[in-house]
Amino acid sequence: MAAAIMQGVRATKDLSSANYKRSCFATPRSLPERKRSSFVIHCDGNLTSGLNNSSSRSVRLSANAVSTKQENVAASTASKPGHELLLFEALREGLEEEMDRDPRVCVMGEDVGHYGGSYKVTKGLAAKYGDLRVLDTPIAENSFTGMAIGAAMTGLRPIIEGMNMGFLLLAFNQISNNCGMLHYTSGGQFKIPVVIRGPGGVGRQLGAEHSQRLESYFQSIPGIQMVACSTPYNAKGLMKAAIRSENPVILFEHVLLYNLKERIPDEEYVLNLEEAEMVRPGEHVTILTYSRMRYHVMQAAKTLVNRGYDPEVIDIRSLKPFDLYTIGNSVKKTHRVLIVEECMRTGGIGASLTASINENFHDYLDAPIVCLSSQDVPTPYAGTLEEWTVVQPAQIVAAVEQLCQ
Amino acid sequence: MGTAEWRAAKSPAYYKRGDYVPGLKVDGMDALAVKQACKFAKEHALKNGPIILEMDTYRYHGHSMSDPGSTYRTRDEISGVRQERDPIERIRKLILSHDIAAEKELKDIEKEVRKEVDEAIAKAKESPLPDPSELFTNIYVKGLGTESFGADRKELKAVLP
Repeated sequence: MAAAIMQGVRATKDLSSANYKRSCFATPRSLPERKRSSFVIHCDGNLTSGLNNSSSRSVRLSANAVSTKQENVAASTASKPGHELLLFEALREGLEEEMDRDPRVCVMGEDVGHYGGSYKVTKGLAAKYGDLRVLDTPIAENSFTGMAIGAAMTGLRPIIEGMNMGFLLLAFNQISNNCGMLHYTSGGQFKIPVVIRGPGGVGRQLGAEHSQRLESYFQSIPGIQMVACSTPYNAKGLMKAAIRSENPVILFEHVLLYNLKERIPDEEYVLNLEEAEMVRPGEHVTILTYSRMRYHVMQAAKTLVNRGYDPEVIDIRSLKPFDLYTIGNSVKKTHRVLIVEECMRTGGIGASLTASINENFHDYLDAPIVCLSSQDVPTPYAGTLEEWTVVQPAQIVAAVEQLCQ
Repeated sequence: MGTAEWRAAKSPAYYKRGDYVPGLKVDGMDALAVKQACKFAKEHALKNGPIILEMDTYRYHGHSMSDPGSTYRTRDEISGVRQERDPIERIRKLILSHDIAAEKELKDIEKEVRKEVDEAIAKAKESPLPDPSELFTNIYVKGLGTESFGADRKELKAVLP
């Protein structure tokens, strides 16, 4: 397997929408359990931070990291690097690059072809690649998910788009039994390199059935990986990583995040599927979040900074498996954890994360883990009630203040 | 929502696909045909078992807020259907041609209905938005008596009835 090292250099900048600073975090990552063909090294001023407690294996990576960092910094200081685009365009770019690179990649879903995708993610792709490679399916989620899994078993790399994550509940049998377990039950003979993606989460008055958060239902399925994207940068990187992955990956997007604008690098980059993203380093409390709640947390963080707190915000990105390395380092530093999520209280991602952290890092915690999640109710249609089901920044601020007493 | 039925299904004669459940295709834009078909279907179902009714209707607007409804069909098609197959227009023409009612009576009915709808809209707009305590109504039929907390375990306490 060719060890292609790809790097993404992100300039620190203020996002006009959320108005916060993001800094690059140096973690040379090579995963012992799984063979990965691509690594990502985020470059930063302090290269020593992540390297001191690494094994000799990563010394090889660190030498490369230093050399590439120099040339990239030189290149990017010339003018503002990269190009600006919206999140759905970033997803489309990632998709298009992968479809160009590998002729086996194909897309299937409802209204992805001629209509261009209900959120315009696949717009223009059917004209470019043909009707069979960007396939319009009937409204039969179970059937076309099964079809994609069968195609994956025989060598294609399909991407299944659910028009809304809630519709994929119809395909649960396919995802659980075939997608997740076939590699095991066939003794390793078949691999299922599918990507199942779609928008989920609470939108603006979409109603109960179209505002579901399926990450809690899928998290128990053995054999699949789950990631959640939150910015155009990680949307494109995670999409590419998910397509290149040999495992079935479920990529959770969010309905309200499709119009986020950001500047992303011109050069090709692939993110690590199992890695979490350090959004804002801090000292007092670790706030773990993903997808849309990241923006609520950053908004609350502004208020918290004004009140004198220093929260460390981590976008966990990888929902299965959790990046306990990054999370653990953070817990060891701050000793307090707050989880902010959009999932339901009962059996959500926050619940699993709480259990995980308690098991592994119990000695490092000064206070019980607080988990803020949505109410265990079907999402109401009325706007005010809908807001009450989802965690709001004011509640995050109150929780941090209580936690840090 | 934007894929034509002949592109989505190889056999678009859905009423024939019930295997040994018989099917009936009805022009859904003709109110009287729908009435007759339902009457027939009810008699058939009570005597013989299930029957499939395929009602062929036409959707004027887009499917949802994000669908303008014009990217996959022409506006001429929409207005054409509205002129020829609109159910209410058809009934109106039948009533007028058979002299069951005069033009003026139909206009009065329309005015009355419009007033009723406008009043309902005004009343709905004036009504207050639901109270947060309604978040937990109708979750369970018979209550569990459990307490439910707000997102931070402080606000919005309710005891599920």
